[in-house]
Formats: sequence, structure tokens, C-alpha cells
Amino acid sequence: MGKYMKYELKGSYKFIFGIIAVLLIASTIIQYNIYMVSNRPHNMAEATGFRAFTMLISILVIFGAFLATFIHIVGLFRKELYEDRGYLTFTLPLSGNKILGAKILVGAIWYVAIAISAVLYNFLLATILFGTSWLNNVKGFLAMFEPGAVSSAFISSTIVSLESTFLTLVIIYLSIALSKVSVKNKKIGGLWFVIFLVLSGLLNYLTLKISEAFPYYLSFNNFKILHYYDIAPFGTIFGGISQVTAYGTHIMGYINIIGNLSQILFIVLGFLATSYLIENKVDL
Amino acid sequence: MTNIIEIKGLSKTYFTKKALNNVSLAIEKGKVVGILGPNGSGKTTLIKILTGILRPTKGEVYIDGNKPGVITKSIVSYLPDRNFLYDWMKIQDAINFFKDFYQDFDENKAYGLLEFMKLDRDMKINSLSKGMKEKLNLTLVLSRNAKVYILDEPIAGVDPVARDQILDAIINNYNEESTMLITTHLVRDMENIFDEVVFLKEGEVYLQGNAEVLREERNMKIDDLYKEIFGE
Repeated sequence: MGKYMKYELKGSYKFIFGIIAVLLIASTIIQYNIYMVSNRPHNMAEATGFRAFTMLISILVIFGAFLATFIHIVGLFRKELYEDRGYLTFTLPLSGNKILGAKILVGAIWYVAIAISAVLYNFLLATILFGTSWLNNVKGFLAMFEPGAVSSAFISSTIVSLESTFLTLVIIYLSIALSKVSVKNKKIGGLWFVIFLVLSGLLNYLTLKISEAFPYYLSFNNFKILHYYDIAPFGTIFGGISQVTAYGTHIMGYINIIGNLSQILFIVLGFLATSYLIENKVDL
Repeated sequence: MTNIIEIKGLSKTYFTKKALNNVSLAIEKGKVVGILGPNGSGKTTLIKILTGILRPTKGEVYIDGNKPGVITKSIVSYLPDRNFLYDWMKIQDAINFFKDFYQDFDENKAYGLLEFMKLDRDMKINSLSKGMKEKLNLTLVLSRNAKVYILDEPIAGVDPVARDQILDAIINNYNEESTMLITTHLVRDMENIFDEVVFLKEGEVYLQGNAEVLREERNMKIDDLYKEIFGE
């Protein structure tokens, strides 16, 4: 699987580096404009006109770059089923699990690489433009909360984000494989997306219902298991698979135990189903 | 002689069209077998089932005792009728790729064949002509010391010079321990290398046998026999 991942990374790194370059340029334009406006707060012309236009364009470019990355990652798998390269990939002595596992990991690696590059670059650029004062402001803000509170919120959201990333990728690849086999391997444009929407909606609904049926949450503040009523005694907070609650400076991060386990189960089942389809059902 | 490939009652249907209908074949180890027939006769469908990228509707296929899958893919060297290499690759990347995935890949043989085919390892795959791509694909496939070689239309659509080079490469690199299946409708150019021939007509085996015996029995070349069968 490692060897296959190596070639997947090699085949897509130029595109991803291009996306990162576009993101960094757009971030630079946005931050530079913020810097110029903040330096001349009384000059309204700075905040409007061409400067506002370039900021808007940059925000759209960032959105477009993420969309292009999504389409590229979908294409990594779709091309194997609908283009001639599948004749090489699917005649390699590799199981469906390994091919699919490599595709999903490479997709996840690129998403993480883009996110980390954008965050680190923006931190660095902010330090260059605004000095270290912004960092002190952030530190001061975080110091208002209890020790461990922010990290517990961070851990719970990271776990749920990772699950969501992998589940999305698995559902996308399962939908593409299902659309390929469902109509006797004929290509019907957009069918995979319809399957993707239906499957995503169904699994999200199931997760929500499971989380409601088993309302036990793991707290990352003190690693205790709490009932929903312990977290939200007035029943005002939405249930679901994770929560970050805040009462003034008191923050707690939780995940619904059974809800999250069911997400992991969906990832595994989706992975095995896709792998089975590409190994036993897909016709090239 | 042991059979390296056994096909029993194989059928493949696309919607209502039967691409293969109850095909049974046994192919001995060490033979060069020509699968002959016009376009649409079921040659590529048969090949794709053998290589594990198409599923049969009915019937069974065994290669070296195994159903098509991960094990058979490690012993079958397959040349499809299209450019199957990733378009971002250079020729050197393609060689590294085959070396990484196939234990039977002989890198030195690949470099020798590249030289014979007059291909430079720094060339980008998407800049190659159709003939050059065909030669590169064949170089990679023949550089494996595989038990079974499956070549789908190896000389279709290439110029006469490239055609001769490809035929020479096949003849010079064929290993008698291996079995080679070649599909073609350009019978005249290839008939001399076949030990056995199988004529596929409308998805069924119309005629099969030893090439030399068929020539003597029918008193005609395989190419003429092909025209007689399919020229009706």
C-alpha cells in the first residue's frame, strides 16, 4: 500500500502545491489589505473600492481552491473507474483494500497539508505584518479560560473533524463505485453525486438518532462519562455526536460515545463495501 | 502438458448483447496462442476476464489453478489495447513503477528493450506518439518474467516500422517456459509466431487448433483461413 501511495502522491503533488501557492497568495492579499486598512482607520477609501474588490476576489479564490481540491480528490478515484489508467491500477497485484486505503490516505494527507500550510503561513504573515502583539492578544484571551478547557474543545472538534473527513471520503468513493456497478458499468454523469447526497443524509440522520438514543458523552476536561442532562440541564443545546459548551469562561468539550463509535463503524463498513465492489463487481 | 489456463462455459452479457457465449478453452503451458476474430467477436472481453478487470456472467476461469484475482495478477503480464500508463509519468517513472509492483520485473531487460525500441527514459509519456506508447507498453510487459503474457492487439494502429520492431521484440523476448496469448485481427503479420490459434466468432469458439496442423489440413495460410471464416 505504501508503494501505491508513493505513486499517488507523486502523481498529484504538482496540483496540490499549485493550490497551496494560490491559497498563500490570496491570504497575503487579504492580510495585506487588513493591515493597510487598520493602519489608516479614518480613511474610508482604503476600506472600499479596489482594495475591497481584491479582498473579495481573494476570498472567492480561496473558496475555489478548496473546491478544486475536492474535485481533484474525487477525481483520484473516479479516473480509475472511467479512464484508461484503471487498466494499470486494477491489474496490479494489490487487493481492493490496499488500493482504496491508499487513495483515502492520500486524499486525507493533501487536505491536512493544505490546512497546515494555510494556518502556518497566515500565522507567520500576521507576525511579520502586525508584530507579535496579536499573539499576545490571543494568549491573553485563552488565559481567561480554565486550564485544559480550550484543549478539551480542541480535542473533541479534532476527533469529529477527522471522522467527518474520512467518512466523507469513504462515502464519495462508495458512491462512485456504486454508480459504476448499478447501471451495468455504464457512465451516467452526476449519478454518483445523487447517491452521495442520499447516503450522507441517511448516515447523518442515523448518527443523530443513535446519539439521541444513547445520550452519554465523554468529557475531555476530566475524562468522565456524562449524561446529556449533566451537560445541558435545560435541554437547550443541540445533541449530536459532539458538543462544545460554554458558560462564561467555562468551556467543556464532549463527544457522544456511541454516536462516534457508529461513525467509525460507518467508515469501516463503507470502506469494506467499496473495496468489495472494486475487487469483485466493477467492470472496466 | 499441463494447462496453465482453463476456461469452462464462460459467458459474458452486456445488457441484452452476448459478448461471449459458453466459451471453453484449455491452454497449455509454453504455447503462443493467437485469439483471432474481427472487432466485436469477443476477443477483448475474453482477455479482460482473464486479467481480472471484467467479471463473467457465467462460467469459470482458472489461471495456474487460481481464479482471476491478486494472485493471478502477479503472474500475468498484460498489454491492454490502450495507453494504460499514468500520464504524469516519464518513462523512467514507469520502469520504477513496474519494478516496485512486480517481483518478476527485470530492470536490465527493460533498459535493453528501451534501447532496441529507440526510447529515451527521460521522455514524458504524454509527449509520446501512439506508436512510441505502444512500444513502451510492450517493453514494460515483456520485461516481466511472467508465467502468462496477454497481449491485446499489440500491433493495431502502428506504422509498419514500429510493427516490425514490436514483432521482433515479441519473438526475441518470448520465454519457452511462459504462455503467450495474443489477440489480433492483423493475422498476416503475426501468424508465423502462433503455435495454436482460436477463432472467435460472435462470442463463440468457431475453430481452434494447432496452427501448423490447420495449415496442412486446409492447405492454406491462417490468414486465408481467417478470411474464409469471417469473409462470409
